[in-house]
Amino acid sequence: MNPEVPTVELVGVSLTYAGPPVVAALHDVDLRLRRNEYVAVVGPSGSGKSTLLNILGLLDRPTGGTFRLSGIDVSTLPEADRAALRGERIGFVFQSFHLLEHRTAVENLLVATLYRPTKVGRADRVARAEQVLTRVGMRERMYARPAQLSGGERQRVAIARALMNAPDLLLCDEPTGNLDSVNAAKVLALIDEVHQAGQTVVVITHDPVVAARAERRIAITDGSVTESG
Amino acid sequence: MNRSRISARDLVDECVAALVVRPGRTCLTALGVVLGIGTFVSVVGLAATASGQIGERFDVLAATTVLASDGREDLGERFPIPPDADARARSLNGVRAAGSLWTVRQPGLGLEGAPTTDQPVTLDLMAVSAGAWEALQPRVVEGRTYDEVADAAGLHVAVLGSSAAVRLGISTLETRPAITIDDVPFTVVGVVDDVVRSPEVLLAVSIPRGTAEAIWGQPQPNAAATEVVSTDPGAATQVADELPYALSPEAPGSLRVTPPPDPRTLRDSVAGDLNTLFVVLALVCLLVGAVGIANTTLVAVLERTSEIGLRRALGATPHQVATQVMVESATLGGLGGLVGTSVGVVVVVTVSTVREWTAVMSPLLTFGAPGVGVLIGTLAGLYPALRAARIEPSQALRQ
Ligand SMILES: Nc1ncnc2c1ncn2[C@@H]1O[C@H](COP(=O)(O)OP(=O)(O)OP(=O)(O)O)[C@@H](O)[C@H]1O
Ligand SMILES: [Mg+2]
Repeated sequence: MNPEVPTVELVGVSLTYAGPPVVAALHDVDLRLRRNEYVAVVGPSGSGKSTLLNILGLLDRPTGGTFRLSGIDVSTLPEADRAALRGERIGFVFQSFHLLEHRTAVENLLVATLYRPTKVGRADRVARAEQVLTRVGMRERMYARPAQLSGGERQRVAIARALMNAPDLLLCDEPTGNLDSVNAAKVLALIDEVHQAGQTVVVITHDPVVAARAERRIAITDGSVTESG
Repeated sequence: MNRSRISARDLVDECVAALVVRPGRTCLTALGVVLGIGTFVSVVGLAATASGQIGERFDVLAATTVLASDGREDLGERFPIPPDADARARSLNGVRAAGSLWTVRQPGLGLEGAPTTDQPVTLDLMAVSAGAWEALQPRVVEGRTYDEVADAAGLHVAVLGSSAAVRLGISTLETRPAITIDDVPFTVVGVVDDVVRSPEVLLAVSIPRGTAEAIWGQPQPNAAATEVVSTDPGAATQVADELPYALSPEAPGSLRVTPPPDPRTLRDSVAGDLNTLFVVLALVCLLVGAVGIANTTLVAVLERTSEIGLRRALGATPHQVATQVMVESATLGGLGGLVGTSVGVVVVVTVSTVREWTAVMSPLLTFGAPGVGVLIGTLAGLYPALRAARIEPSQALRQ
């Protein structure tokens, strides 16, 4: 892939919830993320951080402006194509993990391969899951269910799931919000490592310590980017 | 651009995983369809089985029996069933056997059982032509019935119905028991205990027609004499039309002929009543089962809102999410259909065994019913699937 093409290019993007009441969650946001950039998004509660992340993750469509993901204009793509891109090129990490409770760690990773356009045999998928679990230090717990794991371990499994399809863009919404400082440090170290391995990373956070680890900080207030750099 | 695809194998795996997570709920939900399909299969199977039995009885009996009796009081003095009536009837196409019988109404008739009782016993005395035994097809307990030679010769022989034998105190024919009728001695040659037609002979003493005529004369008109004819299957209606002319060509109208009922009418009306009533019942059960599946599936969708959001984040399209929901509800319906069909088959076989019927079940029913379960599950999943497809992933993931 051409390193000159930015992973993310937002031009004049806005998102207004039709309501009622009408909420302008984002307006006129311009944002460029280079490949392998590590960016923290900060801002008060309700400022539009998650909304921005949903747009970057192709979960929501902007109501205005254009969005190019790795050079592809995704604002106007049909939903089926956006779903395929989402599965292939984007990894999500959530504050509340969103692991399937009744599945083991390795099964949770396999869910990420269910909808891929290119089919891979089950044995290869399991091998890939084991490899990724090893990378996040969870290989020994691959048959544990989420209820049997600590918060930090769950988040590491969730990060492993996000890395299953080797995405272009890793989006983390408050990844340490539910963790104590020891576990948070482990998870942040893991995210650093993912970044060093070449991934583009966006982390939403309230925590200045977390924000400090990123190469660049973006501040959002009332739906507008107020500080970028 | 490549679109998301989920393989059939993965779809099934995911569906099974979702259903085994809550085995109790899965079983209870499928129970509605089990009851519906079970009722449906039992009802349709039992209706087919029952009408099969009705049909069988018609084919062997009612549809092959024609009776001609001298019941027409207004017509003449002549007794309309002549001595050669059996031969005349047998000359008709499709007649297998024919015989005449009537009750000999001799005032003061008494029977004295020679071996054990001195008290006169009152029983009906019936004149039964030799040919009639072929039409009545009795089960001979002991001895034999008499033949045409005995009939023509006017031999003093008698055949007893089993209950008549009991009343006369005759338990064996080895002692060659004799009975007297109006002081005329008769030898008992046989005891019968089951006939397919004219069961009144079981309660009577039967003697040859020729003998009865020789001693007590021709019966009076209105003696309720009957010519019993057994026919080939399908020939009865034709035989019923021709019989009066064969027996009494001068006055065919003096005979009252009882043709067989049309088997189709009766069978259809019996089967039809059963079918409509119970099929409606089964459909109600199926509807209840479908509503149960729809309800549970909808609850499952709402419970798993955040899971559905996650699957969307992992690349699932709304269409794939809907497909997964439908496959789950179709599987529930199919499971219910399989178990229900088995239950229905067991019910039909059990009832048939107890009632000594032959179970009649069309393969279309036994192989089609599980498919009906799948269809019901699929229909029940439509609305929940639509709801699942409409879930906004960004909202679902906020939870
Ligand atoms: N579906 C919706 N309909 C209407 N308004 C919404 C909807 N979703 C979010 N909003 C509003 O959009 C604004 C931005 O929300 P968003 O979740 O992006 O904030 P946030 O910066 O992530 O906050 P937090 O730090 O609390 O997570 C908020 O005012 C929120 O109430
Ligand atoms: Mg948020």
